[in-house]
Amino acid sequence: MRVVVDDPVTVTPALVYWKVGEPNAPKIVRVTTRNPEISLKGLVSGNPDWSGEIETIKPREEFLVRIKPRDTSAKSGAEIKIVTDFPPDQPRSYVVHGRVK
Amino acid sequence: MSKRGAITFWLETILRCGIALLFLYAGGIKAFHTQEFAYDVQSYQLTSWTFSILIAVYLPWLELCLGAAMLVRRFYVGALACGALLTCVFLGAILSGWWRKLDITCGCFGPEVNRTNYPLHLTVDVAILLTFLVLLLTSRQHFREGNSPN
Amino acid sequence: MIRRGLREFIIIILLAALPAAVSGYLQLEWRGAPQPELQPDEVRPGTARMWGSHVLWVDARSRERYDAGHVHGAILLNEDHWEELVPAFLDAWDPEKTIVVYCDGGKCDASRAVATRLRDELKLESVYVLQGGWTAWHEYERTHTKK
Repeated sequence: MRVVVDDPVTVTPALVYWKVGEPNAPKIVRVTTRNPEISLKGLVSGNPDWSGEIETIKPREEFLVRIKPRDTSAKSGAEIKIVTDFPPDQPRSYVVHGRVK
Repeated sequence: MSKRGAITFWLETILRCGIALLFLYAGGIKAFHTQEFAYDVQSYQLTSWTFSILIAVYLPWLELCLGAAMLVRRFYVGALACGALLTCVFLGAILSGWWRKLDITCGCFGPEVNRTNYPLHLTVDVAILLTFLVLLLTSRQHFREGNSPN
Repeated sequence: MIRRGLREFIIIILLAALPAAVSGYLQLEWRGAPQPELQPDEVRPGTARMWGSHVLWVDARSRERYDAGHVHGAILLNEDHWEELVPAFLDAWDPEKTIVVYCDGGKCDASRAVATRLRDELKLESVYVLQGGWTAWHEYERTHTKK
């Protein structure tokens, strides 16, 4: 039997990618939360050549995360963690995957 | 008929008809979907594709014959023995699938969408097997008393 | 009673054989051994074989089943270890390739669940489920591989 637990945070899409040679304009990931106690604290990139920034659209409800690689001249990838502040004792992170293919 | 005899009679009738209808349903639902049932048989990875086709063609009709025989009480003892043996084979196949952690559907009652719930199917098959054994015992009792089970 | 039971057992076995033979002849020959209806997101082993190197195979089974045998080049990606396995899948993924997901049998839901997540979460297009799963593929390879 499988039990599905509804996640209060939705990250869409969970993958952003560029083709090699494509301009490295940031791509947007939309993060929505259904719990007003949750807020985004920051981003942790697994690859220093990848970066991102968070824009708050509606506090504690809707955010945009802009992610981009430093350059797209070669294949690369990164797992970028979106760090939240909930639950307070063990805050959860959500992963966005970035690839240059 | 004594009270005890009446209870035994009705219990036996309910068990007999219940199992008969179950087999009639199981056979009827698969008899005209040979291809899909063949896939279900093949998914247990116990037989070759050719043998899976043969099983898919034959097994539903065997189930129908068993069900009919038990319902009308003709060739009754043979039907019970055959049904018990068949259920043992089903149990073995399900146990084998569970042991090998196969992600499959049972195929027991026609095409299914969801993954087999192994504990549930094992429980159902054990219950069916026990029913057959009870019915075999009662028919043996009738035979000893000189009453034909047919 | 045993002798009678045995006689009746044989009668029933034989009684079932006649309608089975007729049914088998009608279903398998008249309709030319029809295959189950193909769902919009499914692909048959023969078609997937034809796609050749344009396919990225995804195995949605457990690690044990994968290690026991898998389609050549398939990437393991199952729901039980999704977060752990997705990075390796994405490293192998190519936007130009078609993804074909399979699990053990014909109607297991693991492959469908993985395919749905690939479409919904990662927004990947061109994702199919292999009709008949690993069983059908194995049988197809066995009957179509030149010896």
